[in-house]
Amino acid sequence: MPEQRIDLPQGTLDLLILRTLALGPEHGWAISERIHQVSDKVLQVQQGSLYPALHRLERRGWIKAKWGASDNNRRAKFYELTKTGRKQLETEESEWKKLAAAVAQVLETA
Amino acid sequence: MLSDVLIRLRALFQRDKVENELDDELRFHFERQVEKLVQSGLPIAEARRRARLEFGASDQIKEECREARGTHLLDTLAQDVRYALRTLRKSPGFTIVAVLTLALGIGANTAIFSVVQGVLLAPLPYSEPERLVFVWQNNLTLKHIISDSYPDFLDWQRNARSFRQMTAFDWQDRDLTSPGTPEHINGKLISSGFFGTLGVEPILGRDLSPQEDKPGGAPVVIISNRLWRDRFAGSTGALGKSVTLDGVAYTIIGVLPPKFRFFGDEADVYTPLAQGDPLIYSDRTIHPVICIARLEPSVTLANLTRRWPRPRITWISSIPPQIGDWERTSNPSSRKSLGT
Repeated sequence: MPEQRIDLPQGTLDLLILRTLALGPEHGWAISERIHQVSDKVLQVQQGSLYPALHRLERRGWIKAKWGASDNNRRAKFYELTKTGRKQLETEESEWKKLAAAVAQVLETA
Repeated sequence: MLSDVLIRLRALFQRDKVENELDDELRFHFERQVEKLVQSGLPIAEARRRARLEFGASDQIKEECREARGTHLLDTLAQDVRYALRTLRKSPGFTIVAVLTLALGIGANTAIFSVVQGVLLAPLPYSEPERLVFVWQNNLTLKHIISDSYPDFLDWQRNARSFRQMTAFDWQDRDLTSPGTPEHINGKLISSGFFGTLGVEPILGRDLSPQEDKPGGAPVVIISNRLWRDRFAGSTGALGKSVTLDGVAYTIIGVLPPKFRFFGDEADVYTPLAQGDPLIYSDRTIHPVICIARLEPSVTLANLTRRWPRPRITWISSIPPQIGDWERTSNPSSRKSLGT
């Protein structure tokens, strides 16, 4: 296991959220939908983990929130990446790739 | 981090708004989910039911969001306080008793501490009080008496070499008849250099001089700050004016600083000890005066007791502690007795 701090469930969800927002601001529902679609319906993010994660990321300053109009003209809370968030995304992405590669290697040879 | 602090502050001070926003956010998600299910062919009632199931317990989600925001502890504290207040309101009798008990406790504590502060902790208004000592004759039968006869005091004053200054006083209440309305006031008889020994500077005028402190000497008085303000309007012209005490006019030669107190009372007039009643003050068997001395800088109490021989008379001794008011004074004057 690498020495960097990577919490598996919580950290992975954070990473996915940040990656989704890298493409542009979204509200919570759209984020979960996007992850669901892009992962070929494998990953279904529950509201129970999504919203606490969003609030946590907002508190950490990696995303910021703004109320706006959604595509069906209703009021929704949109999140977007901040500059520190973008940097954090890069860090976590590279860590994840390293982790995945390492785990794959162990599974192959062991 | 700044965003962290701001978010927490906002959560604290705009609780309702933040809560409503959270509600709106979750409801929006719910509605979109329902829409999605309806679009995939479900009847609306079924869609809502399914969405609600998927949603899970919204209260729990809200709770986790609050926790994520980090104000959880304070929120629960606030809730508990509100609950406590509600409960107290329901049983007013109990509340009243509790409040009264607390008030009594706090009041008593404050009172005690104020006394301690004034008596023990506040500094004595003299300079270097640790160099001041009581001097008295050790009375073998009445061990607790620390007062002396005036002639003894005079002898000691003449012979003392370990003391830089020695002075004595006695209490004397007076009837002040002028200026102003007659009043019965506290006074003291003091020997010359009394205030100098204590290390107190009069704010006007001067201390008593040896020339005045003689039988038949000029009747002079040093007055307290309070008397000065009450009867002479705090004016510098008070020096040289006179006050009439027990029918005799005394000329004012000095005014003391405010807040000066000595031996538990704030005497208003200090007149020469030598001019006191000769029946009392020339009798060696009567012990009305208390003698205070300031040690020479090089002298310690230990070598002092060695220097003065102790056949029958102990010049400086310690009072047994069971007397209560007075602490062992083989040490310099106890704060308690000197300052109260």
